[in-house]
Amino acid sequence: MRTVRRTRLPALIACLALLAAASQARAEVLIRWNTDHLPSPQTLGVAALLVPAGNSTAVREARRLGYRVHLEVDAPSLGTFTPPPGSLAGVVLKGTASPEGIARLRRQLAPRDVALRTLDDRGKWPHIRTNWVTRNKEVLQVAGRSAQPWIENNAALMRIISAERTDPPQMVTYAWSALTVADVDAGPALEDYLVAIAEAGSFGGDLVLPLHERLQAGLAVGAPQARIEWEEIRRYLDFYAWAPIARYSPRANIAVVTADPMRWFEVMNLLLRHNLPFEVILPSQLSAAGLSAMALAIVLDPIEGSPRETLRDFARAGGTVVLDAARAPSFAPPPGSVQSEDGPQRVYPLGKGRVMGVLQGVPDPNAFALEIRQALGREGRVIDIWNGITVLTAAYEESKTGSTLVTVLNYAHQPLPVQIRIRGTFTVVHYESPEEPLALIPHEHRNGDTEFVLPALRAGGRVFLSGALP
Amino acid sequence: MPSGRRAVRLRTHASASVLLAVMIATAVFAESPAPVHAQRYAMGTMFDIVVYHESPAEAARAIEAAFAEVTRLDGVMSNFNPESDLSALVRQARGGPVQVVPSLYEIIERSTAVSRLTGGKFDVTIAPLVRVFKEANADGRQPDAAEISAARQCVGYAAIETHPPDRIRFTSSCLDIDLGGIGKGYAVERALFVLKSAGIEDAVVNAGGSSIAAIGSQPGHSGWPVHVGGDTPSGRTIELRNMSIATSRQASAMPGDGVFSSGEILDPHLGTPAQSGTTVSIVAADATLADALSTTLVMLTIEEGRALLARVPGVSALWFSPAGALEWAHNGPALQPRRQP
Repeated sequence: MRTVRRTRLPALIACLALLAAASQARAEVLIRWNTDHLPSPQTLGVAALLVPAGNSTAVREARRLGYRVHLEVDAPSLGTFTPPPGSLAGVVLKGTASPEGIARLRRQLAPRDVALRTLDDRGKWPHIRTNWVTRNKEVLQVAGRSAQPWIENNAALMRIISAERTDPPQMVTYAWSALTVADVDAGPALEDYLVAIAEAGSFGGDLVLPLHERLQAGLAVGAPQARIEWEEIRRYLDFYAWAPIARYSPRANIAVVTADPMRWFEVMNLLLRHNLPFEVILPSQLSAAGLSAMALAIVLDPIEGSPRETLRDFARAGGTVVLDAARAPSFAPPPGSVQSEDGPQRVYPLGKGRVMGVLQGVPDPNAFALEIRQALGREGRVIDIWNGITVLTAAYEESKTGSTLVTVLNYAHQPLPVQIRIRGTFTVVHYESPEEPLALIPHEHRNGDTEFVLPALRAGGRVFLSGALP
Repeated sequence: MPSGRRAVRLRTHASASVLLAVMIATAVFAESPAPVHAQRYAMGTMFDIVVYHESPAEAARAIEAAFAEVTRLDGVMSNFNPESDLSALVRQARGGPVQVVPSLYEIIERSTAVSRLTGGKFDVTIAPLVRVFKEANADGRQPDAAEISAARQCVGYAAIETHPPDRIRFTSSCLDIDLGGIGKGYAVERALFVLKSAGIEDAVVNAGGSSIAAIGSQPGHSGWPVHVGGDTPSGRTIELRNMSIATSRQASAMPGDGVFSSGEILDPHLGTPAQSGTTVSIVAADATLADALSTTLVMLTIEEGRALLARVPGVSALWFSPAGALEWAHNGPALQPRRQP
């Protein structure tokens, strides 16, 4: 009886963890409006807006027009902030506030059942970094060897926020950063908005999307160009408002174990850049059940006690544990039993698995991500992409049916054909995007993988794979 | 160290000079238009175009036309896209002469000219060897000697016959072409040509930093400032005016297409990846030639590179070692590189 209970408990914990992970992936996009004049909710086709609490005119106007208003409150003004009477959809706290201040605000909001969230402004407006820099009107080109485009994205930040599960929950935001003087006035291009929405939808991040004042002004007076752009933006908002990823769990086979995820931000950024799906696990949350779907665990901090034993058990059962070279030998007794050595990397056998020692502090996250890719091998990689160096993906799975959902996101601002290979043999492959309705797409099976081509990925889309063969 | 009245006079002169410089700069910037810039993804990289012109609308139209040309060339020269003109040529030219679009004819003819110039060190028929390395590396291994040897049998620019004005024939049954070492330079050159044809006089086209070409200048400068050498101690700025710069370095990886663990510049003579860690920048009026030569010089020692450049008028080179040491050779534009302040 006790044995049965022991067997079921981890499974129960795993299920709860999966449910928690799934419920984190809401992918809500809240439009931020900060100017005095607004079109009606019917014109905009959006029911809720985030308005700065300090702009009383905009707040009053938004409420008069019938919007569900979320108020953005600056942390420094929290001491003097009192929630206004009347309907209020939510409060989003911007900046760092004291725990006492947050507790006081909670008490104020609780009777009215108003949700409180905080704003993480460490994000960057997603874009491909250019090879030039500007200072005032000066332009400096930067010469360098041919390299893959560097994508500024928020995928890792959204994953980290999801893992941290803070209370109050966090939303991501970012400011528009102009590349030239002309851009300051023009603001983000249409495709910039579309990629931002698609990114939140793909990675399950809750996003506060600031509308540039030019677009706000155009929409307020019904300017044709602004309306044309908004129709496209709205199509993306509608597409990603239905967030099927909430029903799925991230399909990851890499565990990143750290108590301080932001310290290792670049490591995670590069893992995602190379389409290596991972789950952040805090050492305190480390369990055999949590590692059951993992092929590889990257341990970024010194680790002792029971988490260390959990990782050793994981390796003994066939997993790969990656940690810094100085600590690797002590993980895999007898000491010094080096299985292989390749450059700075040492591999020690442990049970059915292995322990890999890598350079301390991960000085080159790009090279590290490639090492991890190689360590997984072809069979261990969840997803591979061809001709898509501007494309990031996220894979999710439904444990009950084995169905997989792959979100695809193209940062290139122009439609591209993308060839994808996903581990698993699926008999039905559907694709949909804001531009294309759900439809079956041709696919092939090869060595236990399913391969297909998305003929013209604009900014974002979703692939549903079902009918998995054993 | 000046002292007394002389020092006062010098300070006065210096102050006056600074004031004059500020006035000139202010006047220049006050009268100069804002830059019009746009970027577009093509050929696996980001193309940036910056134009200064009195009419921003005309500048924007010219930039669009230039991007249209780059996109068209991507469709012509891509060896990933089975529908490209290049892919069609590779499929058909093994059977006999094939008529091709003028731009494909031109780039292949110019490629073979560089191959002759470099004794085959630069060779666009490297494609079979590239494929062998890519496939092996995707499986997490290096290709074996037999695979490399078989691929090398198919490499050799001499098997390309060009028949003016627009026909090409391959005399090898397994010949394949990869324009990766020259295509971006050609696209940059063509984009600049489109801009000039539209009446633009001050513009720069930047293909992911590896190929940059400029006409005219940026306001307040004698050309377009370009930073070379990265963050190394030798990093510096040069000004391009009616000139181009191409930069190459052996890469350690080619993500997105599996792990290419040994680098993407392959030596057609050895059948192996180039081993150099040096970054090479070539400055020349001809952006296509600059691109091809920068790729080539990564495979050569500095002395071999100097010997090659001595035979190519109008070309200069900069070598940055991994430690940041700089060497250069002039056989054309005097670089007069200056450090970043």
